Amino acid sequence: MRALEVGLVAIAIIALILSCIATYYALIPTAAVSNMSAEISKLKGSIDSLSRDVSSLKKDVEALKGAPPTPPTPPPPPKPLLEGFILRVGVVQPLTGPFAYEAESGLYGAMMATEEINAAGGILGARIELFVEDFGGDPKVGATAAEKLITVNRVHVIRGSYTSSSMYAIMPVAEKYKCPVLTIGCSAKELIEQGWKYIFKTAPLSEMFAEKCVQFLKEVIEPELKPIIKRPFRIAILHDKSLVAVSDRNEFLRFKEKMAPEWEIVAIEAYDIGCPDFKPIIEKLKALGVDIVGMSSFAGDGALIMKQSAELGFKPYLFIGIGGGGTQAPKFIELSGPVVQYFFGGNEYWPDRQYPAPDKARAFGERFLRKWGRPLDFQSWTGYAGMYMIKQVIEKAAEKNPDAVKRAFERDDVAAIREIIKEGLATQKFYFDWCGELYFDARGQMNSIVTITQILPATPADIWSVHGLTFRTVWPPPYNVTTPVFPWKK
Amino acid sequence: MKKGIQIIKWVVPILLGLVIPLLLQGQPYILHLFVLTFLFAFFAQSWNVLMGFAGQASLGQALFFGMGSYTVGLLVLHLPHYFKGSNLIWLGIIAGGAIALLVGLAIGVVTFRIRGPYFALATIASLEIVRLVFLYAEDFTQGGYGIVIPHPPEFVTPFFVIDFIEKIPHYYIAFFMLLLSCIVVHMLSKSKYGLLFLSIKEDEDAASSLGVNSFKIRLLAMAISGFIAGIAGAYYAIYVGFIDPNFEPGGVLTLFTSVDAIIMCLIGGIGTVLGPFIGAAIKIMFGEYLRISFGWRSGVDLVIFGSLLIVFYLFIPKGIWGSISLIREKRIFRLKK
Amino acid sequence: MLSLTLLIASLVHGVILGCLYALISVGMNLIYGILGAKNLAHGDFVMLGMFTAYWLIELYKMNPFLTIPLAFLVFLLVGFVYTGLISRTLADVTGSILVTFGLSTVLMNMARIIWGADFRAPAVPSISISFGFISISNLYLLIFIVAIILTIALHVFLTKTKIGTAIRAVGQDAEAASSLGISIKWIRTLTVGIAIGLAGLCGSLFVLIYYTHPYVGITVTLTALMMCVVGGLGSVKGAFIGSLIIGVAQNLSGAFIPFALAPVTGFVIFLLILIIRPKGLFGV
Repeated sequence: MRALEVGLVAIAIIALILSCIATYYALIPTAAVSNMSAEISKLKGSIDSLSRDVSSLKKDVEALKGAPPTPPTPPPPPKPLLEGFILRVGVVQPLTGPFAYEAESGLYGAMMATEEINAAGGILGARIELFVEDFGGDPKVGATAAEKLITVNRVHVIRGSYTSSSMYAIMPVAEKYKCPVLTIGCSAKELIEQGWKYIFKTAPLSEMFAEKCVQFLKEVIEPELKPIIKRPFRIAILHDKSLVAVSDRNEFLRFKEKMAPEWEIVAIEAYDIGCPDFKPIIEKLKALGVDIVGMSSFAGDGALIMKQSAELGFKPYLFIGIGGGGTQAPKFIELSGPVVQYFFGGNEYWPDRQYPAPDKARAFGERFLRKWGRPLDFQSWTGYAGMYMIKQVIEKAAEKNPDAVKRAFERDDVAAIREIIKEGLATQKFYFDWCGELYFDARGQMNSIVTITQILPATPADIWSVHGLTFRTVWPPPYNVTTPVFPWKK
Repeated sequence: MKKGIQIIKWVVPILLGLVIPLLLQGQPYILHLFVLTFLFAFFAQSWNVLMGFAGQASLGQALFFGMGSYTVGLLVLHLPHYFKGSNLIWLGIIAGGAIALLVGLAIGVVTFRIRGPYFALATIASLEIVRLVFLYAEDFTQGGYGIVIPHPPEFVTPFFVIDFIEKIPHYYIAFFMLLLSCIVVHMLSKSKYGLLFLSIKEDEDAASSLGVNSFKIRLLAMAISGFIAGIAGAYYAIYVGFIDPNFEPGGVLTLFTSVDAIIMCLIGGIGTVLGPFIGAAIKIMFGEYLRISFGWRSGVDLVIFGSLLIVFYLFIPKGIWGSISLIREKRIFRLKK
Repeated sequence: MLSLTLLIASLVHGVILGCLYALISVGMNLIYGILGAKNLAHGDFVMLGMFTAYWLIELYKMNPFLTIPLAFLVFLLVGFVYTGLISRTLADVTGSILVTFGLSTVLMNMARIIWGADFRAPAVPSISISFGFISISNLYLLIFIVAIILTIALHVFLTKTKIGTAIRAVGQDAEAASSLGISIKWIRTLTVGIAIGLAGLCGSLFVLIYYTHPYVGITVTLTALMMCVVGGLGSVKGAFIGSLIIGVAQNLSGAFIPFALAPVTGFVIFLLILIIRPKGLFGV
């Protein structure tokens, strides 16, 4: 019994010490905050100095042109409403672990928007501060991170996360504290069917991808291909076992049943993420005589499927990405090499879109590539767009009721600001000249526009290319830049 | 006098455990960490019984954990009328423990001739088979969709209301689970079965030649261990609210979860009653401290934690509690001399 | 007829895949044989080998053939250093799990910090060579040949040479071997060096047909663990044949049952072998 007594005493002592440590570090701000803000202010400084250079250059130019009429000195602008306040935004992303690359893209998008907004004077003078938490893809740590952001850092809104499974653990926490979550990534449709009121899902639903893909096959491919094969399509679907891919497959099958019941699904194969060898599947598909292969894969798996198909001489009429996974990411082309030419895929956003202002979208894409050295993809796009949505929400609220907004910031009334953001996101419509109008429906789903892109040879005018290939938006009409190239005609 | 001290030693830590949440009422984040610590200490205890006392090096502990959580998940999925959003779900914890116990017995029977490292690998194989089948059988388990387990609703008694969205009820549940497991394991180690476990740990063949029914003892160890891990898994499912069988960090049916339990036991001290709790406290509390200090520079915290594990083994290979009791034994030995 | 071609093609791909698995698992098996330690960081050494080969190919435009011996030599040295760590866990299986898991965490996250979380694949052209209805890429053929040569060489080295005999002797009974005048420390260093060298070499081959990122190691480790036990822990021949069995079983079953269940056949075969022969096919 002695050991037990000593043991129980030890439990007590250790628990006491741990609780002391825990309370201590919960009360002090984390290193992340100070470091991030230092970096942001440094960047702000460099932007300031650059703009000073530009203005002095402008002066020189004007001096060369001749003495300009001295402009009347404008009256000093009124002090912005929220000058000196801080909008706290938490970011929860799996920055380590197998999904780190995509998650980082989303974070970079949000960081770029934050820097731009802060450099341009903030939201009516209020600076945005990011609180970044990494949870390594583990749902329970994701819930811990959300809990910490909401109760310790007292953030006004949460961005994230990339993996759909962790959203299931994060959302109950956010619902409990009534903190809006504006997602980055995670396209599974079940997330908005749980009756949560504080989720605002930016990534398109699986069904949007599926609808566009089936429609594309029906309206564009079938008239061209039907005369050659003279029978309904034989389709195979390859997908990994993650939540997103299973959801993509189910939706694709549902829309196929609705719009083209005569097509035959000859094979549905699932594989583990990171599987090195797809040859059994490919040999099987080769033996089955498949016309179209639909894939919902992460970039690496998709690339291996493309490479190994080429090695084994498996040439269906076309490959199409049926979901929001990695086949619309630039990494997919980089990993697969030249064999991926003419691949079609559903795509949420690629900066060559014609609508509404192609040059603005292009400038955005170039800016991102220059800043981070990696091409803009749909993750970074949602990360970026979300920050501007928050900005517009606060601005609109301040326009309507400036006193209430100012009072909420003055009193540091987190609940009120969260409610303002939630109301704004739920009801407002946003317009950006680089992507058009965006809004959230009653379920909290954004009206993302899915287009079909094709991987085509690049020209020097393209923002980004690798192995001489790049994505081109080919369908549907208001957005496309070119018409699809039919692989079997090449 | 002696008896008085004994009572104090019993009562003080329990009182302390009961009082902590009242001190931390405005700190749900810390309470959440405490719940996770207790829960995983409880889970690590199951590996401790199997390896620390009975010497069966299982790497498939996540199988029992996963079976427990899937019992709860499948109850919610297939009998939503009774279990979804209802307090009956707490019965699922017992069911989860029972199912995991049966699975433990089944694996014990299948692997009865397999020893040592081969046993470890056989348990990994069983874990992977179950995981892949669960992923494949979408009609039964929803496969990669996973299962969402809604929080149980408020529990209304005439005197007070227990709201399971709050952390405090969960804190007490996890605390008592851990306390109970510590007491049970302590009593087990002092009983006749503790010695029998030790005998098969030291040398299974020699033990059976001396008349120990090693097969039965092994089954008993597997059953106890499975039961504890199953309860832990079932409670995890209710607490976190989502489970899926994908191979990802923190997945309930993955090797990551097994290794978590092992690391906790080894840090705290294997074969000791308190080792798992100390290990879980370090792994979860200290890991979280590193994460929030360095987390935004993704990876640095894990590098530090990994190096600490190595340094830790090189200096205290017996684990913290193991080393403390070693020192005490030495002192007693010296005194007797 | 159609399914016969499928059968033969799957068989061929299975054998090649098995050879690749064998390369990974033989190294792990060597470490287990000599130290009784489970090396959970093995996959992470493969990952480092992949990165080494990738940078050599991308930055110095090195021929992939040359990276293979180079990776072996580099990781031989790494292995010599690694011996100092892993031999501390001698005959303590749980201890080796703790240490190698810690090391694995450190290695993968160091790689994450240094090289970023990018997915990378070197642009090595793959040419498909067709034998009738079976086509194989030149890279797979290269892997197959290297794996066969290395396994035979290693087998001869362990059974026919003096040092090889000493390695096996230390593995079986270190004290007896030491009483015969064998320097245990040196033999252990050499064996761990060779094993880690093989892991690096394997990485340089693997990167040609796969892609690399910092967290690729865990999958490789798990695969290797399964492979080496089918044949029996601590035997090169066993690990090789075990890997072949699993590779062929996965490929054959993948072609005829849902691919999602293909890995299950590997695990079931493994369990059956253990139930019938509790020490693996060639275990002692």
